[in-house]
Amino acid sequence: MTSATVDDPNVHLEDPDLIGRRWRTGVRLLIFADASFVAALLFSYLYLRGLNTENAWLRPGQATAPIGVSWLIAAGVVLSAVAFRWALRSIEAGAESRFVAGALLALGVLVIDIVGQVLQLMNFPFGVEDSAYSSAMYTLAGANLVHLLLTAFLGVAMWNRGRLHIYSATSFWQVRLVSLWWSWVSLAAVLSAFTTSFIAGPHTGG
Amino acid sequence: MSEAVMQHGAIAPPTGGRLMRRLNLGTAVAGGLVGGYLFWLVAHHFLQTDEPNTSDQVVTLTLLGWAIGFLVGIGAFHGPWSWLMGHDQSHEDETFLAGKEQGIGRYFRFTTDHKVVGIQYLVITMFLLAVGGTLAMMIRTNLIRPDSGFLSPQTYNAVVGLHGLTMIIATIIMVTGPFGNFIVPIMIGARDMAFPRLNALSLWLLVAFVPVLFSAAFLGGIPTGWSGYAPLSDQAPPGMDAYLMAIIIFAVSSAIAGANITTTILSMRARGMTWNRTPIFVWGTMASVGLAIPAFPMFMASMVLLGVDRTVEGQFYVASGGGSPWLYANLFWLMGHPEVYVIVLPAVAAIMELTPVFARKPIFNYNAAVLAIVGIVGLSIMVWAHHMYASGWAPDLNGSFMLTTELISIPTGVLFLVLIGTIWRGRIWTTLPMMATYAVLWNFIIGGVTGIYLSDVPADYDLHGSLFVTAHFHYTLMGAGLTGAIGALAYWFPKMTGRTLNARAGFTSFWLVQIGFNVTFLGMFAAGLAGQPRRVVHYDSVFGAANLVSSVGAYVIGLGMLVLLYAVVSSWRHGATAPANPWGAKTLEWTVPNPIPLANFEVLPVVIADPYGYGEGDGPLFVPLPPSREDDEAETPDGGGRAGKHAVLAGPDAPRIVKEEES
Repeated sequence: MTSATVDDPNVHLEDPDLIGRRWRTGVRLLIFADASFVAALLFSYLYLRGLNTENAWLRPGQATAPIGVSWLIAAGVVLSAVAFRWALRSIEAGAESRFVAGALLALGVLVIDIVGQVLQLMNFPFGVEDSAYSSAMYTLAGANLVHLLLTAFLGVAMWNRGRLHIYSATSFWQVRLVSLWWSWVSLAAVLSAFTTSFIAGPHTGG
Repeated sequence: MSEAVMQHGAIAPPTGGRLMRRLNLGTAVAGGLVGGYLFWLVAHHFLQTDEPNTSDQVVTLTLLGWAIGFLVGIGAFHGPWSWLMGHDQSHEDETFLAGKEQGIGRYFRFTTDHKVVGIQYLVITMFLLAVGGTLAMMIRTNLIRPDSGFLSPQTYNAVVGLHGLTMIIATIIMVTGPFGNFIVPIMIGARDMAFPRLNALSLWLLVAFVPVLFSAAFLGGIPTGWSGYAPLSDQAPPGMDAYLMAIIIFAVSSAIAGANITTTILSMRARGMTWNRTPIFVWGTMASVGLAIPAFPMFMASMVLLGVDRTVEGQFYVASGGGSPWLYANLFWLMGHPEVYVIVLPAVAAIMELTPVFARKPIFNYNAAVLAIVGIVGLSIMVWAHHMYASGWAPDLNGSFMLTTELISIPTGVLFLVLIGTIWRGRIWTTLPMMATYAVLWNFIIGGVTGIYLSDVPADYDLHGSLFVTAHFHYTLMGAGLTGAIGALAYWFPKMTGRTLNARAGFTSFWLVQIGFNVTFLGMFAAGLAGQPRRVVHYDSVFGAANLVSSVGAYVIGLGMLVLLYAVVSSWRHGATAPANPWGAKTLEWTVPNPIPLANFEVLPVVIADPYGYGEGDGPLFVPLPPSREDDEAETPDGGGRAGKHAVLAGPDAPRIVKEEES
């Protein structure tokens, strides 16, 4: 916190809301950078699918990943984000115990989702080396797993800090920031599931 | 004695810091070595050694272990972990992290003070430039004769690749790193960066990156050139794994730094510093880091895909597996062309910042300069495929990319006009920074005009892959970028070090570097126009004269750079003490004393006019507010912002600000 680097007698304490607004700008910019990374991965999937080089985007007879699993994982992230949103609303209203419960619920759903994501990675019916499609599926699933793990770290922190009564109705800007990140992660999972729903290339067999 | 003590009298030594007190560069290196060794052990234990990609997997994991261990050792995860556990840092902890009472030791710790981070960036930049420059000398020594045999072909390729990447990274950070961190917060009237710990994190990620990058030299090198084109990069030795890990670390560092600097500028400018009163260097810095935020994650994505290809036999860039090298080319150049402006914009902005000071007149058409910077940023993300005309990718789009590329010469030309207009009929004070302005104008015009040739599709088909291209981008990145950065260093050296830069050595270096530079790269233009391809270890004797000239020029550059290094080091150690405002400049960083207090400003300033009012009469440069309006709601005299209680700076050269007394 910049405010605390000032020596006495010139202590310069900043309004927590001001710091919160500043952090919101920073988090949005970091999300922008992460969105650029995710966009590059999604672009790679769609580009290779559209190009279908050597007719090998998806090899003839190659098994594909069940679309429903990706959507199920995305739904799990969305559900956890909604739960965390509820926790945010609770702390805004001053209900600290409800915030702790909401954060724990969101974290629980997220952990289940992480397990689901790991299981999907372990049970893809193809190897990463089989085709460009399979490489892209593994990479997108791996990127989603990294997102989920980062969010889980934040979720644990939210629950623990809520449990320690660090947040209140007048001081919850960190919760709002985590909610922003959580929403982005759920959006990224939905975009990933949507993109990977399109499997066969437009020029397959051409 | 620390700045804080000098400012406020005796203060008890800080007691905070907890675990961070025991962590420094030494523990970081130890942590990195332990981390690397542990990951290496795990990789050897669990990986099947008979698989073709095992060495790539081992190298990648070991380097990842190094980076994680290094960050643990420097204490980068201490803050997040404490936060998770609910232990927020106390005032004493943060004072310790800011480097208070630590003398030179603060430069070897996870220090959050933006001035320390700026100096750390400066030292890393100089180190990278020195290594990259030495590699350049090796390249030119090899090319001094058609078949010199100085380097083997494999070594030559590795040296070219490492030189390119080292210099690209050095030039990316050379302005926004040292000056964006040290100068910008003071220039906008802030006490620190928006996120001091992220600031330190971005710096130490860069420190972790350096050994990863140079480990490539011991792992077979980077034989692809700095661009790392697939499918060559898929087939390259494990040095390529070092390349991709280095880029991933650098991309994370630059995204964090970009978000931090942008937030600082957006949300921490002094009261009254409206956008049209914001110094042009701040605009240039924000444009640069703002471009980097989306650009480098794309490069990182291309590296992640390369890592998948190399370590687990992914097929992203393998045509027989449904992949495509064009995918790499697109992702790379989606970063690669904005990256040119990431390098050049802050350097040219620094030149535009210092030129009014030494021309003693206002910057010519400030609004046009800002619009030009914004225009370049906007267009720079629409020109990437001009690097791919000859690749066969989407020939139908060549025309549109040619158009956008040529359009970008318009805002770039506006920047030239702003500089020339500022110099025009000015009372020039010929100092080293001002000489850099002349050099940038000369070099950047040559770099820019030859760029227009290369943006033209038919001309590019002929010149693509030749030394003409090499000469062009050196005129842009070195002639404009590096020269601008040297000008910035000469300009802000007294503020950053409290010492005066040795002018005689500085001028000697300037002339050596500029003459050597033009000899080197005009010679390279000649060889390129005659048809010599780039990145070749042997060449036909018909190109002999041009290459000899280039090599001699390169040695002169090297000599000039050594003189500059001497000037910087000797002046930093033994130079004359610099006054607080040796140039009579009007931006806020010149209002703070040397050495700069930890919190920069005793009282925060309120800006009431633009910072370029040179030569606008001898009247007062500011208007003190009447006592009756000394409250938080009072507006500054020109309505530019809200003011609190004010103190007034006096003197004809004082910046046009009033100071706000804090409650």
